[in-house]
Amino acid sequence: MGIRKTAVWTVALVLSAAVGAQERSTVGPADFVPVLAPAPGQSRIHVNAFLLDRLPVTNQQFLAFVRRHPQWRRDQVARVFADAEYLSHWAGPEELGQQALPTQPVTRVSWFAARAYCEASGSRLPDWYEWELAAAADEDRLDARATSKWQERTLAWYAQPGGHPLPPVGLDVANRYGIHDLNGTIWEWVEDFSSLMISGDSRTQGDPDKLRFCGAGALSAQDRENYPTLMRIAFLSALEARSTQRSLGFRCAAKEGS
Amino acid sequence: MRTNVVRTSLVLSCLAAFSLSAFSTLAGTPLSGEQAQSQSATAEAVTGDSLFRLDVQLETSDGRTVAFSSLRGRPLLISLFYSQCSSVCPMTIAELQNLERSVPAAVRENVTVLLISLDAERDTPATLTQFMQKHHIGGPRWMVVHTTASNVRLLSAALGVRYRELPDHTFNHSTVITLTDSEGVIQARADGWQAVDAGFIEKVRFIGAAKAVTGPDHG
Repeated sequence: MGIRKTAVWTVALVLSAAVGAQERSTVGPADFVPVLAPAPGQSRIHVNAFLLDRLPVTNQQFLAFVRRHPQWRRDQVARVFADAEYLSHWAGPEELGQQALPTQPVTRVSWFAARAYCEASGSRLPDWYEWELAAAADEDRLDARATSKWQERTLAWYAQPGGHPLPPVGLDVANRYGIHDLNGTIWEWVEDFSSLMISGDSRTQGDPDKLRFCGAGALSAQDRENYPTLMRIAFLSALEARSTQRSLGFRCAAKEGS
Repeated sequence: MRTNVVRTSLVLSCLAAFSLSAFSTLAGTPLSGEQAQSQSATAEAVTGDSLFRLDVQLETSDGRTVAFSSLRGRPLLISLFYSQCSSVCPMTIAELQNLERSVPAAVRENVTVLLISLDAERDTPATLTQFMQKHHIGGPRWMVVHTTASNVRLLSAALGVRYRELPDHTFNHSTVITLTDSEGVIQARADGWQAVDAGFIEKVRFIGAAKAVTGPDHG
């Protein structure tokens, strides 16, 4: 009886995880003008169709992952993969508590941990251009970046003082793709965060980073009015892969058809 | 209903078995005798701050597959490069060669210089071998390797190297030389090709002089 009960529970858990895994929207394919020029002299990038989680990963989901993969418990994680603040707002290594409600997005996770989570569910972290493309939409348009509504709404979040508890995921109006919380809740890891190299000041003659960076040097922004996206790039480009932050979480992406 | 549950469980266990076997196929690169030996000799778990926590397979310029963690036992000087790179990479390599010349022979013989290619697609063992000949890279302590694009991300993340592939297949990347001790713990970083200063060289002398107890021989 006990065994049968366990089996039923396992099935229920696996099924709910499987349903969770289908909560993704197709984004793209699209030819897209990102804020950072893809290369000197090139302004557009082609993003292949991909699937993106409609919601950021929650504390509850991350807890289930940590239970299955104890090497990612905060008391067991290798220091090379996460700093000392990793999941430090949880009540215990396998306990959420008042500071980490089940439906709040999980934060204080490193890039390594976020990546391992996505890998364990057969997915991956989105690339920056994929993320930027999805986040360009609002409820009316696929590319709403030029509208004052998108800009003001996105900027409003940055203007909020820190320290407020994070809202549960999915409270905002979904964008045209059916995706929530891309703007206005948390910062999110992307797979290639370390590829975001921007020069300190591209007005200067010559390239100050020429000797620091092999190749064409740092890239310059082609849409300097898009502060929200520029701030996000600046934030991501300052992180180390083992960094964790109170307002930094993630969501997963996958190949279309998976 | 019960049959359904049983059936679902069966399907699930088949899936589990499949994913397990898929996993072992991926992870199960057979160990050579030499690697197996060095693994058993250093069976004690590496510490949490060791780069050897990274589960990464490397392919050497002579076509061998080695686990990154099998390099445990000797200090490492690690740098990322790609063989088509014409500007900073040759300077970094010259810098490493200078560095080698400026330390005592005992240190030189003890420290492994590991060059990891950023170009997972194009830097095949044959390309790497040509690159080594062109830049007069040789000697038993130099390893020039490539790995998958996903592993390049992991390694560069752990080493704090920023990079970006451009449409013409060149790479923008920060030039970093990382020194680890024989346990894979980072001891010093030289950031920027001209940053190998006296302090860094002194660190290499010090860390490199610590005699390996069970150094693997990749010569």
